[in-house]
Amino acid sequence: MAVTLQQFSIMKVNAIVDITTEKIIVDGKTVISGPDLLRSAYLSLKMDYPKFYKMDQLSKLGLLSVEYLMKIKGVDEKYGDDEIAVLFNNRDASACSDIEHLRAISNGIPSPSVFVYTLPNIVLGEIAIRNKWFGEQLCTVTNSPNYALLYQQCSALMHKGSTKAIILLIVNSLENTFDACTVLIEKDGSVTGIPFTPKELERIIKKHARAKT
Amino acid sequence: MVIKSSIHVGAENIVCPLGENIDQTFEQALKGINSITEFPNKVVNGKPVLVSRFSDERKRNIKNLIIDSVQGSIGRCSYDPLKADKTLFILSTTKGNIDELENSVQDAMLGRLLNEVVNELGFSGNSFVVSNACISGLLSVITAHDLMQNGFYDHAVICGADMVSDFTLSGFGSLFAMDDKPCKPFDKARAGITLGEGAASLVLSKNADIFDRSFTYCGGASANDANHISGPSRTGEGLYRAIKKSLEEANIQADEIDQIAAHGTATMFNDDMESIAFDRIGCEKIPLHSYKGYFGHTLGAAGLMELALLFRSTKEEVILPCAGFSDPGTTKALNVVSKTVHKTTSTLLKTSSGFGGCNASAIFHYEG
Repeated sequence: MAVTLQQFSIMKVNAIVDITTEKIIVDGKTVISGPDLLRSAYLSLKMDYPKFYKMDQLSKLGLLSVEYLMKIKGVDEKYGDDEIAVLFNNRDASACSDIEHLRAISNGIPSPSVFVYTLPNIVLGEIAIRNKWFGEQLCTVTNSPNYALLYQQCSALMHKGSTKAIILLIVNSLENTFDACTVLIEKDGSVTGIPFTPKELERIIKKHARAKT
Repeated sequence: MVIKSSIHVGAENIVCPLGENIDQTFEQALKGINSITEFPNKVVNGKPVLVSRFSDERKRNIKNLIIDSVQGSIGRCSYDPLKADKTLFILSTTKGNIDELENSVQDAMLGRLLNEVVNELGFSGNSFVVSNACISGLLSVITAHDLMQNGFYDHAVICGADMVSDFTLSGFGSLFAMDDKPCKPFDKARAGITLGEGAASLVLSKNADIFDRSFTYCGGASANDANHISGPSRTGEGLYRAIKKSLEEANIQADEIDQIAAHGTATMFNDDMESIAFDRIGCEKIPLHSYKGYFGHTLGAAGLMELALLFRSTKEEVILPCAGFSDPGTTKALNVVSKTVHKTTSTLLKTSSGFGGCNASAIFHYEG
């Protein structure tokens, strides 16, 4: 079955969440800033989800990004429990927890609660648990974002099975630095949504990179 | 059965301690031999550790292992898919070069390993790493298929690889998840995993003529348990959903499947979870095995090593037994293969499950 380009053009970008070490920006507006950013964001979102404190930084970033999408766009109410696919891409994989596990090994006391986070897809598991999502997921790693490839992966996921929306998460987390760029892509996007293309994705990710500096 | 897809899979290869290529690995498995041995001078939780690990240190270079496996697959094709237009390369791995982390974060990066591999292969097309725990291998095949089906690629070359490392041994040790005897998938007395290392590769193509003999991809899906990051679901929800969606995409009923290559890690909870999912979907009577008793659990390579061995044994009209299994003992009864069966099978189901609550399932049809 051939898929025409016309079918791709119905994909729309409907929300963007940027997290830098200083602030969280939702659709271009700063919603929170300051020190101890992730904890402050968790408290301000009134999530009442104590598991958050047990997570590694990568999972916290992913969970908060999706939480802002839920809160602001009400995505969850629109879709069934397997209609949202999550595509993850980054450069550092789970380096932050990897280093922590390596340190625990050299101290002679490796901890299961650290070890389980030494896989980058754990963030997808945490998001699925929090939101009770049973949909498609894909966790990928590349040295830098490949816009054409990410667009292709989103298109393929969007045309697969029950998927009606995609959350694209690009999250990097190292010990002293982190950033997350999260994009909500919907099939039947509102008329105000921006058409999702590789060029648009490049613009979003480059804008995010500028916000970091 | 209706085969909607026109994407073919073949040229399977394995490089692991059991065999230097797919031929050797299959021959060893057919003889009932496994490559699980005691790791010399290694103690975890006060006990010796069993692993499937190359005894020759020169073979323990993950980059060379990947190249070796991929070249073996390409050698089985009528032309080099890496030299064709519109080819995709996927590397499937959980921890890649993790031993390098002691030196620097950069040296251990998965993207760096990927770039070294594609440079050495002389490939300049699109490539990425799938690092999705133990479903990475199977998820790479599903993803490659979906990208091809959408018209983005004509060929895909996929390789999975992972090594036995102190990093993973001490991690699984801290979870008390390793058996101190060779793993016994789906057996009553199963007591944990046996870690392994190795690489496996496959080629996907829209052109069946690239292969001598191949399989058609019929359907595949992933689904999350949405339950726990390291504990398997008590209802097998994610695996059940992934299989159900694969059956729908393939447009077949559960009882049309001839053979199941399950994940079967040999932990008590995982194998029980799989039994519940297979029972719920109506697959409990179908011959089923896990191959982890031959070459251990190779994490990011596991799905591809198991798919490669499944393809090869199907071509040889053999259903290999579930090595390590003798007495049934899962929550729901399954038809676990305990002796080699010489039989023609054509519709195959492969499943994988992993940390993060992830599950993947795919169905293939043998074309001969």
